[in-house]
Amino acid sequence: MDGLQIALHTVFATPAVFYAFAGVAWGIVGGALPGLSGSITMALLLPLTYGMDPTMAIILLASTYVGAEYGGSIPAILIRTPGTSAAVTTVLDGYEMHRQGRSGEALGISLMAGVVGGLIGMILVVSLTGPLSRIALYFTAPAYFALGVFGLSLIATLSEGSPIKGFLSALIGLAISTVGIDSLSGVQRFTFGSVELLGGIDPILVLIGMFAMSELFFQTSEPPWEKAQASMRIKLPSLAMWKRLTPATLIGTFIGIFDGCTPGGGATLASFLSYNEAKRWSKHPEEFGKGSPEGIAAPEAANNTVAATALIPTLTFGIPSSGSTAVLLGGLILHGIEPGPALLVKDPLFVYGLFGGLFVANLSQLVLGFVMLPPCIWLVNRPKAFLMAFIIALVSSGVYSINQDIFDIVIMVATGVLGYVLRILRFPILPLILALVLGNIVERNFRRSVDLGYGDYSIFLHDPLSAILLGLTVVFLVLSIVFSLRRRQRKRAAAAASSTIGEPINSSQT
Amino acid sequence: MLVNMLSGAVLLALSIGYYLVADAMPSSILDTTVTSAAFPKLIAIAGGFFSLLLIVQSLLTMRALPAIGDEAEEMEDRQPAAELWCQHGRALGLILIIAGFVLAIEIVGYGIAVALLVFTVSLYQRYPLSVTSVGVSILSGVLFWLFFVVMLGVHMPSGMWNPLAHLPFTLPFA
Repeated sequence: MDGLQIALHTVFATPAVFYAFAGVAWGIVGGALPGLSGSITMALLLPLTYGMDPTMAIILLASTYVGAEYGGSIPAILIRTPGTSAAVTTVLDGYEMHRQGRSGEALGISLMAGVVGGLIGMILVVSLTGPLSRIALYFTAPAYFALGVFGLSLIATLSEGSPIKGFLSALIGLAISTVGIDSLSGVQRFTFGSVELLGGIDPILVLIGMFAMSELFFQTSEPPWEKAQASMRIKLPSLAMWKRLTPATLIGTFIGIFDGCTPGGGATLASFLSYNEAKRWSKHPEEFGKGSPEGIAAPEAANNTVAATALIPTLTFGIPSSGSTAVLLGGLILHGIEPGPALLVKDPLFVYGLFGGLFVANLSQLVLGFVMLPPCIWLVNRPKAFLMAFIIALVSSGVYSINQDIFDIVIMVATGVLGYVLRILRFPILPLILALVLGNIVERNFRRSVDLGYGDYSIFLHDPLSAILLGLTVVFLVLSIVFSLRRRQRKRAAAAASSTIGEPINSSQT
Repeated sequence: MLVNMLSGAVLLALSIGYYLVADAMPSSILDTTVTSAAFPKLIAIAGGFFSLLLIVQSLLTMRALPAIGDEAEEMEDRQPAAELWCQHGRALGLILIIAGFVLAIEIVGYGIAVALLVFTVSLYQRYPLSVTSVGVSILSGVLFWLFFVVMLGVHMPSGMWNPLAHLPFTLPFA
């Protein structure tokens, strides 16, 4: 069967449509709740996907990501509070349109731009995955190890904050991944006599702890958010409005394509870049920030495109571009699907099935965007106290349901505390999550490589692809440190210059 | 920057400890040219290296003029100390509530523990004690029990209701 046949078979002969709709609906709800990001919404589903067919589970998770990107724009427009970080730029013009009584129009633009961006993104994913997978033939064990190291270093250097902290965060994640019985030699590592740790630390527990629990620890001291107007109807853009929105939508889509393929990019960066570029190229730049429809179309198209194109580095290289794709990667590993260049070759049924499901998910957003609006507004208007309590109960119950072990909840809370501490100390979390998810793969290929080289570590330099990737890793590390130092020097110079200008005249007269 | 230096020092100590524990791992007859301790040792060495780098970077920044560069940015972003400690206190309170929930599950059973959790968190988040808060808490316990135990078939702890499982007839919540 070719790819199209596999996709059509998955859509029409399996429950993929149900899971796509369910994922988008859940994603819209999760994205609409301030405090629940796309990654948390996906992480909440992870324990519930145990026992599911892997393709259906990943369709559910990826559809959640699609839905969350639209869902985040609902509170951004209605109550000036982005539901997801990618919806921050939507606040600028969306909330202004709401104040002008044009909420329905704003929501309609967000919905349509998102659907268009998502569909274009999916077409690109389908087109590029095949050619990229042909390089799978060139990947050996040293190259896979080097790819893991390269991916980790890329995320570490591109994450917010200091690159050194990014690397340390990644190393913490790798250290956590070594806990448990070593699968190759049977030696107990870092279990300290605990029976519960023999099986290692499940990445799901860390994902939920780091994303959901740590966010709740911050939210407990934040004030409640505003209430949204109870009744609202979405108004789709007219043909004349579409003509105006087309350039902005295409700009957002174009930026989303490149940003989604870039590890460390993510929907947030794409939405900011597309907003700026849409304003630069707009015929009415003065309207931006005052209720410009293009100010909504560009970032919403961008973040929905990213939801699709982020699959490219995640599936073909195992390098996620954001927290949400890191959760998706966790889901892939959980269901025994090893992402990487060989995925399309080894498991085409899964890959094309996923594509089919995601096309349905992007189309279903058009229907669910209308259907889910009233329940989302109702939920956003519930007391924050109850929402927080429900999330804690849901998260704890989901985690307990994995192994029926209370210790799992303890691990989740402990990693939530770790996530809270890391965020206070400004250590990025994404490198830790990625390192934890990829840790076993990286170690397995490291040991396999050294065994192949009979203990000689130079095998990593003799393999051409490995040498290139490790070389790029060193280059990225050096460049990030150099850029960081230059940025500091520029700031010091600027601060020194401004303090000299600000010196009082009297000091020269005494 | 002092915080960064302390973080670096803690991570350096942890890296050293991690290396020592890895070094003390027993060997296995299944070991090949690479033992099970090799990768952890590599992580520990890298951790030590980057921790030292963080300490050095912090020292160099502290020696420069204060309140410039990233230091200024961090100081602007940083909340007042009192507000920060209040935030930590609130987070600690929530952790204790969740700890209480974990203990309560095994004692009073899943449904009742969820109801108590919702009730406690709502009070903690300053929702006034009322018929609504009590009602929502009880309803939450029932709904979560129905969803996880009845619909999904997950075996949740029944706590003190466990003896009812041995009765000759089946109760819906046993």
